[in-house]
Amino acid sequence: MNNFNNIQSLWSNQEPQKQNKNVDYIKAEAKKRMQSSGRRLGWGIIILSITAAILGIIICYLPSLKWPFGPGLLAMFLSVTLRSSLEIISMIWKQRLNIALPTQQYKCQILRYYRARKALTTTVTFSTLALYVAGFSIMIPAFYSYMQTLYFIGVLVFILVSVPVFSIFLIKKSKEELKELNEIIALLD
Amino acid sequence: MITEEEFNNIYNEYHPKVYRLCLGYMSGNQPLADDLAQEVFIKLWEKQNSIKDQKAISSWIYRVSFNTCMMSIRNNKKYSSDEIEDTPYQPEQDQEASESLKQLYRIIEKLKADEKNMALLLLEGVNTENIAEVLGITKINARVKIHRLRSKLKDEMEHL
Repeated sequence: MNNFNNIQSLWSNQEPQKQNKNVDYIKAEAKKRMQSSGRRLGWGIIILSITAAILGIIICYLPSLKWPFGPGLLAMFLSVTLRSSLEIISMIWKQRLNIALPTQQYKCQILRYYRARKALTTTVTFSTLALYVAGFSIMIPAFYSYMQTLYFIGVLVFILVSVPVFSIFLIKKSKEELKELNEIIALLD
Repeated sequence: MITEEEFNNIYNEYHPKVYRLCLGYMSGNQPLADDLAQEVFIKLWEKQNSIKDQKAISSWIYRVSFNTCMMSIRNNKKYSSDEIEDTPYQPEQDQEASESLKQLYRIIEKLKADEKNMALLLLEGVNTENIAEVLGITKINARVKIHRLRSKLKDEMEHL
């Protein structure tokens, strides 16, 4: 096998195996994925709009809100708005990644994206969670003063159960994504 | 924007090429290559708006194929040609050709990522100008690398 043309013909004579999926399946699958990604973005925008609207109302009424409700609500909704905005930016960034770039450029582009995603999954997520919890925590003494004891205990129990459950869920999800991101970054680096 | 009919034509024309390219990346594993080729065409349909020039569609398809293959390796981990039970080309009377093909896969597997991309394009008979465009290098650089790679492939195959 000392002629390059022979090597080429050896290569091109490989017969593709019988395809399981036809071209119509491919188009349908692509359309399904596009719709699903559009839906995710749409939901993200709806959530962001709602939290941003509530944040706007809080900011407008901030001077008239008594301590500690003003800063507490502000911290809680600021953290949710910030996290939702960054998630939407990340979704749009992902959609705009240009897969048709030459491999080296694509690699650099996707590495930048995954590193940003890693920062979002770790630092940003936990900072915003901390801000949310801090916002709520500073309002607890006020709840105690303004609410009837039974209501206060109800709210407190609900929060003491829901916040740790949500935090565990978030940490688990973040760990899973982080593991995947570290694998991709190690592969591309 | 590509019409459905144009996409069908592109699929019929390029599927065998894309499939072989994926086979090269997956060290001859047919089911993985089949899935990957399908993934490439799904991406082609999804990202068709980014095709600037219809005439440059072949280099666009190859670039999308390489990038899809590169990203898929992490899902399929490293696939070794030693794990392949049968090579895709299996003429019963031509044992030598089948062995040669296995050897070719082993050689491709050992190449560095950029050399592998170039080797797969060379084997598909893509010309120097298009190889340079696909890989994002200058024509002169491509010519030099192609010359070296052809010699390397020939030398390695001679040691059969």
